[in-house]
Amino acid sequence: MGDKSTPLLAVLQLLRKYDLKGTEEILRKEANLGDAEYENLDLPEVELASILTAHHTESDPYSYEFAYDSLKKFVENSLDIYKYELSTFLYPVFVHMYLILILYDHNEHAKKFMEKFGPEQEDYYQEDLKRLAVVENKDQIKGNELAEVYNTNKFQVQLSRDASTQLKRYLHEQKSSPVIINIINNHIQIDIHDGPGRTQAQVKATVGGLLGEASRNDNRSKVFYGLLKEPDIQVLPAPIEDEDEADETPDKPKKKKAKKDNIFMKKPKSDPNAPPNDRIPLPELKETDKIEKGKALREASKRVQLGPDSLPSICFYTLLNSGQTAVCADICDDSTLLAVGFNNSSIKVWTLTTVRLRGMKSAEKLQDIDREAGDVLVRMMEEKDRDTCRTLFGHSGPVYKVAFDPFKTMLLSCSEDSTVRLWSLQCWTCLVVYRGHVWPVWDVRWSPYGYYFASGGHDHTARLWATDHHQPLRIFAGHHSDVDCIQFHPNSNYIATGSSDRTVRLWDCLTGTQVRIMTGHKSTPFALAFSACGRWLASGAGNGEIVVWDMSTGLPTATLPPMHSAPVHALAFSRDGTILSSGALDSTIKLWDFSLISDESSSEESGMTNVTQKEEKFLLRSFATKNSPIKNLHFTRRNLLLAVGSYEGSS
Amino acid sequence: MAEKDKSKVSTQMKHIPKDAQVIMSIMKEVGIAEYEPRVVNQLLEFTYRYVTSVLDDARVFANHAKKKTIDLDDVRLAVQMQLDKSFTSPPPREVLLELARVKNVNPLPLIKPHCGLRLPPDRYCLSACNYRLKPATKKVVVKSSIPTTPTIKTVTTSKPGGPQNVVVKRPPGAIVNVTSKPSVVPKPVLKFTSSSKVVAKPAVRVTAGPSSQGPIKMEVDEVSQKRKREDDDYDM
Repeated sequence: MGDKSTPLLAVLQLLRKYDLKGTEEILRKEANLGDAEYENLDLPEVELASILTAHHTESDPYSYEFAYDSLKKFVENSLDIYKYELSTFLYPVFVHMYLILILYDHNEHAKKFMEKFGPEQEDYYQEDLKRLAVVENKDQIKGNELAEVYNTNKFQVQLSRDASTQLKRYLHEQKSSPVIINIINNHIQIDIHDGPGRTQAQVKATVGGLLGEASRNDNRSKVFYGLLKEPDIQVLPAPIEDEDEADETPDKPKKKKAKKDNIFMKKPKSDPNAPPNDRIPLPELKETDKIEKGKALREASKRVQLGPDSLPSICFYTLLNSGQTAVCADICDDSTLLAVGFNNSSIKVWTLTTVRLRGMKSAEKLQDIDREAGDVLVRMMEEKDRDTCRTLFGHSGPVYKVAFDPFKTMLLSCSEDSTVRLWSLQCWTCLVVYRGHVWPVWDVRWSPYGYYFASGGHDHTARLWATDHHQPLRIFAGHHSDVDCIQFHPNSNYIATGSSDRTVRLWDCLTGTQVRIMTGHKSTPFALAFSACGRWLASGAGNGEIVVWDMSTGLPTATLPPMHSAPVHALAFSRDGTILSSGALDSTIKLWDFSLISDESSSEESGMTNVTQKEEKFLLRSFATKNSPIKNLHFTRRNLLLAVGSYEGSS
Repeated sequence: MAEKDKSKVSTQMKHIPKDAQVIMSIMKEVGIAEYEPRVVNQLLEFTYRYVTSVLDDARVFANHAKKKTIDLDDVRLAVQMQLDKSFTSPPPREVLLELARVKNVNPLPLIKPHCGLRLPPDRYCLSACNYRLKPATKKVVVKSSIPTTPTIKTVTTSKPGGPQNVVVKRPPGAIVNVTSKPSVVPKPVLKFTSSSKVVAKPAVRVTAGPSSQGPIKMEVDEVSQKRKREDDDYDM
């Protein structure tokens, strides 16, 4: 844009005029002007003055309003195919104009500018604008987080080639708006893609991130979204049979009927999208774990097939007298334990079956037991010390998330006191305190294979830990705001995080790099759930919308219509991946037909045809509770849906 | 009905002190519409506390600079210190990215097989036994006898005639032992052997107290579970 060298030459001449030889040399070296132009520096005074004042027009406040207004008119008058893409341009230009006005001390003008054009911006930007409007003079820019983010990072805008040429033509014609051109150069990143201009629906699907839309380059790397090849656990209908005949391929015993074989019919051929089993080191199964897994598979064989015409039954656990105190809840994988974290920093674990929670025997008694006995795990526990509920103390701040490990031996909890604690479910004491986050930790999750866990907090990072390392193994940095929710991919190789910058990112555990960035949420995502096959990720946000992302491309497959009127805090897929359930703070649970959603994506090629018709078919049923916001949803191994919420009473 | 509420509110507003009104207008500006009335009081308290502590610090800085009155720079510095102490914000993105880059270079560690519970080394766990210090109730009598004063042998030699002089003579070569043997508190040495299963003996940790006070009694809480110790040996 323009001739960069001329202003620099003008400055050089000015320096020579004031006899600042040293500065002149340095400027010459840095700007690579070379000696050739040394002699030609003889700009007439008038031109010199005009060049220098051109930089000054940047600080002419009236030009900003005029420039923005004319840009707005240009966008509105452009053809429909370009209009929607170009309209994504208005917000970053507005924000940066405001910041520049403040920077040049035109505070009243800036205020008027904000008042005039602020409310016209999109709804999802209004919150950000409120935070930005607090900045009223130059000194306050430094303290304001949002202003800093805008100043240091470029806003991403995606334009089709035709739309960008239109824009360039407009900017060339408007000679009087060097401000916009400067803003584009310094603060906006335009990503040009070949193809037709996008429709309003398409634009709406991906717009909304704090720093604009995700660029295509960010989503190019290969993501192994397939499931790992399961180690074969010989599951026999009757446990008496010999469990030693383990084959390499998951062979089903011939006694089983054909119908129940669906889950055992895992594809013997390798999935090209699945990562190799040893891509990241995973713990091998211990004897006890193998028993657990065997149990799991046995139960899975008895599970109910769900579908649009056979909806799951829902069992709701209501926590009473805890509306103001219970923060989070989790149910273990085999659905026998319920843990609830409270804002008085305690955690309670209840048993959901008749089996009581037993503590471990004291050390002296443990000496006497026979270690070789078959039921040593039962003998280890103290008969007299049994209870239906156990309380765990240790945190010094509200507990924001609790998570059971896949093998029901340990519990993780994260809290506002910036620690993550590991508790033993056999001794009922805290084992380890993981310190690393210096600010509140908002979410903690176990890997599906145990051993690894991930946490995300206020310090804009997510971390990957292993239970036997006191420091994190990986730090996932890149979000522009707090990491609010985190989830492991079923193959444990990737971690998805949702943040207050309204993006959902996918990180690779092996390298710690970001492999996908997905924008499109108009509000902070609070809940994440991977589908059973691993290809899709559903995320629920603060305004009640749920978006389903395709991991292979990073694009939204479907935006479920915002049926919830309050933030969605719980999402769960059924065990066979056909039903998606969502629970929100508006005290309702909704069931969505996920097979229809995923079919849509695989059969459709581009664009969204007949979206509204299909959208109505996505929602299967909606269940309302009296007044209990949903805290957690969990599908049992037999596809019964369990929900946990605390009764808020009439308030 | 709404008008009645509105007039009620406006009359109530007149009874609210000016400071509280300021807080309420701040909240309105930031966009908070619903809040409990006690929030205003809490914010007021916080404001007073913050402002007084900033001004106190500013006064200290002004005194240090030998100035008579507080200056704008003093207040600025005081605010900065307060900000660094209590209102820290997460590090900037570049710092985090750099940190992540350094950390993520290391490959994921291999997992040791057959480990039982996989926990970090003992000093990072909370699996040590609990103990409590309790002062001893009576003074311990020193066991060994201590010769406190050197013995003086009086030797009188009689001299023929003349006045009798008593000469006190220390036998040459007598070694006077004045050392007091301090009471020796037995120091038990405890070693934990790693066992193949999860059981270990309950640990008793005894610290030797300073000898003048005598031994300090230790009460040990029975620990319920100990895991195999791979790394640490306790040696006192």
